[in-house]
Amino acid sequence: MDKSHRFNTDLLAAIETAHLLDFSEVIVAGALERKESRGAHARTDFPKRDDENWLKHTLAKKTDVGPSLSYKPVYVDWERYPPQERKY
Amino acid sequence: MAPVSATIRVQRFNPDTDDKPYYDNFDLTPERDTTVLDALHMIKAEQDGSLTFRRSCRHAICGSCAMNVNGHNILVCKTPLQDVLNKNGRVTIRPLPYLPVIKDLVVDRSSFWEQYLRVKPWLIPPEDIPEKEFRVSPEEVTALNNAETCIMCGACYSACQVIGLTKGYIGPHALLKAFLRVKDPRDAASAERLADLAGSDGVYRCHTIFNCIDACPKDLNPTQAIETLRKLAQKRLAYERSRVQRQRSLQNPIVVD
Ligand code: FES
Repeated sequence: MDKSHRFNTDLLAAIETAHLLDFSEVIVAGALERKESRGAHARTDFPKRDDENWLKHTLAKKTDVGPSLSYKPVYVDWERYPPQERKY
Repeated sequence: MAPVSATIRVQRFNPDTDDKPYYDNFDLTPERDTTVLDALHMIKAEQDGSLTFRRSCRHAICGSCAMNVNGHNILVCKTPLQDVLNKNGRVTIRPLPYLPVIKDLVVDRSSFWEQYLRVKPWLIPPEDIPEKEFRVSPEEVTALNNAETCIMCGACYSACQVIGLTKGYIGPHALLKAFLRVKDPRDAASAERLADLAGSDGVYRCHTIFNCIDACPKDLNPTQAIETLRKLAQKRLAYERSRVQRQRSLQNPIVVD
């Protein structure tokens, strides 16, 4: 283990691991709530994209009991670029 | 067949606690596709967590893992360990030469970035920018010789003996970037750039030792770029005027039917 005070990448990795855990929790909480599939967020129980209910950003706030979620509308230029499902 | 075991000889140095650099040997058993970077990771994870080196992308695009391996500057993430082991299964890894060591394999790149900023590596557009996009011809792109693919790893800079001996030399990395901007048909400051580059720290400092070409992990050619800049510097005003001509003809291409 690196205990030095200079360019300590061991310490850095430990701090970053803690951040990874925080963000894993945010991702899982957001994904469980988002009952649809969209891009890389793919669920077998909700395989379709659902613009009616889920065309919105998830915001997560840190609380003592884990992330607390809220939502914010997505800016869409309905005139010029109406959203549509991607098909390949 | 992969040898059973490999010995990685690494230069260590922590200026806070060590009087001078020394070498540590680490034995490990590599797989056939273990890279030099993988080997360093194995050592850090399993043998000595204090071994310190820079890395990020681990596929030769971020430029952070340039080191001196058996005397050559390379990207350790794209180099298989098997390729650098000698017949006794040993390899020697040192930090990039000519740069101050922060710790172990991590060097201080301040001078590298300072010289880089000196050449104003950003685009300086003309006043009369086209209404839509800038048109650039395929010939003009070819003439860049892939210089835009430089990943700023520092391998050339730290292989250059002029850098080692002369304070203030702009260096191959920044001159290559200057070449890119001077040849960029969208850039309007080529005459001014060429005047700066012809100064005492610039293109005439290069002794054409070719170490930079040898070191470049992207097979670029800073020496040739410097040669081109020397030639263009002689006729810089005419060169800048010709850019305007080129842009005009691209904006209103002559249609031949
Ligand atoms: S780790 Fe990014 S270039 Fe080697």
